[in-house]
Amino acid sequence: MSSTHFIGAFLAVEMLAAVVLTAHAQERQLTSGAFPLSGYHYMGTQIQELQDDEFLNPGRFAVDHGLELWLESDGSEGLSCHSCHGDASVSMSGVAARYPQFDENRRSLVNLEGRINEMRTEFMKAEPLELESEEMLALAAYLTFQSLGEVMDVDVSGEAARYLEEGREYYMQRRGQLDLACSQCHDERAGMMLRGDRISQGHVNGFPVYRLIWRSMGSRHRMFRWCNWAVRAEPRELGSDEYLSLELYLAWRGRGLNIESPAVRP
Amino acid sequence: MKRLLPELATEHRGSEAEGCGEPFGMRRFAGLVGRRQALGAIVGGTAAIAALTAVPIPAISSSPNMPEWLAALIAVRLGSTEFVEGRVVLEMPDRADTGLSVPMTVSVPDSPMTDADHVRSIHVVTTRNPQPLVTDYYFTPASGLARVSQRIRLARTQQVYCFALMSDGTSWMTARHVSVALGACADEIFLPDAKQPVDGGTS
Amino acid sequence: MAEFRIRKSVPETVRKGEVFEIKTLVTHPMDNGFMFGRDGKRIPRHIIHRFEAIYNGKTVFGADWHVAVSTNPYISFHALAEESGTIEFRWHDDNGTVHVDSVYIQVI
Repeated sequence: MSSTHFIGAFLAVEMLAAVVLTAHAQERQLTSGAFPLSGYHYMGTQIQELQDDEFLNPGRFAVDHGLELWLESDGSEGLSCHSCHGDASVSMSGVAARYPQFDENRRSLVNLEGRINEMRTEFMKAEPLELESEEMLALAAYLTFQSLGEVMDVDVSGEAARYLEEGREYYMQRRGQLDLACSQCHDERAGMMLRGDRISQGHVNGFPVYRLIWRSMGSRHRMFRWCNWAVRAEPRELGSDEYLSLELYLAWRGRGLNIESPAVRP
Repeated sequence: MKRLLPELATEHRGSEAEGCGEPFGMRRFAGLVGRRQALGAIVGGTAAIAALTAVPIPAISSSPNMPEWLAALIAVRLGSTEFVEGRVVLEMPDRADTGLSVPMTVSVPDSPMTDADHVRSIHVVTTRNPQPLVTDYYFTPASGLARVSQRIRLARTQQVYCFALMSDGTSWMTARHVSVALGACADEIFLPDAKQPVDGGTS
Repeated sequence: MAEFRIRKSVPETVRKGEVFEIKTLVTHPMDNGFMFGRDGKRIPRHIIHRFEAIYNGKTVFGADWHVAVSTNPYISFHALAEESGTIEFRWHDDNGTVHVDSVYIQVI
């Protein structure tokens, strides 16, 4: 073998090795739970495209709808969200990234949906929006969209610490007929395959999310119900204390991730 | 690998000998496909080895022989039986991330789209969806370019066929094999219900 | 059923004789008739079965959609710029409704 051939062959082997190593590095990155990685990275490019493309993303319909609701007056006071908060792109920027949070007045955790309904009933004197209704999801998606790209950063100091612990407990607790804890899949087996899907780390930075199998938007709590259902466990109520604590824990667990809503998930 | 190739070859020869590989005068198509399939099998094998080492799988396009029922369906619907492989291009991923939304682009890039010579229609049909028809596109010279993109559902791993009818009376076709990891329909059995949002499907 | 929402896109201006891309995305369940609801009953087929694009009164592109078209049907197609005018889109729903919308295209 001439030296050029030898070098050529060597380079080919080297390049192949580089490709293999890169692929392995990516694999390791997905499977390692050492740092948070958005569910976005666990999807195939065809679904990523659905999320990235402003035109294709079906979640953007909810955002558009949310803007209409933001401007719409409701209730006996004749107020809209806009009446007090003005331009949401200014007033609501970064807000969703800090929810759920501990509310001093209520002495409990409150999430974005809870806050929306509180505002509606207390200030607008309007009917609360039904959780998981199209309107609620649209408004929540619109508000969260104002934090697109912001770093998720919830306050877990003080009173919130107790809820954080409760949430962690729920997350680590085995449950259901399948006797599985959230952590067994999303901490210990993230990156591995579950049928055709790659198991993600189970972060909540994409919610409200458009899920292809739901063919609609869904909140974090709907996803928790779905997960409970998937391990044949008893789902809790939307907006229940357990889910609020879990939501706080998951938001804290994914701290540092960017808000992606409206994300698209399979 | 060694076993696979002769089997494919036999299957192909057999179908031609019995005449069912050529139900509607598609000998030219069948011949092309036979070689392609063999090539596809070789590339496929390499891809399988590559997959073990987690190297990205190279694109494979193969078009095995068209099922007889599909040929009959096309003959009835499109009124043409003389399809030649070529000209029409079907762009789809080899592996769909989800069967619920598979990107698809069909085109006849070399058609001038003039009054004298344009694409009349393009038809997309699948082999193993519960209902084989996917879309029919109708063009005019004012379309300017015969190129359409959509997102479609694929219930399972299968062939996607694409047929194009031209204004000059010629008919062209192509096919692609698309692997689907998650069944689209199985995952939509339980529909979302906003009031009681416990719903699912598999994973 | 949720409101029928439409998203559409054409270039702001296009030169005469140029081919331009038109994209539309609408909200529609595209129920394929093979699925079962929570009550165990089959959900009847409900899709948009035909889509048309009419440019200055002339149909330039048409499509028949079948049950394999994804929920919230998206389509991208092309047209030849002839004169400034409207492009009308028509979505023919299984329930008999025809959803109509249009965009203005400026040809320079």
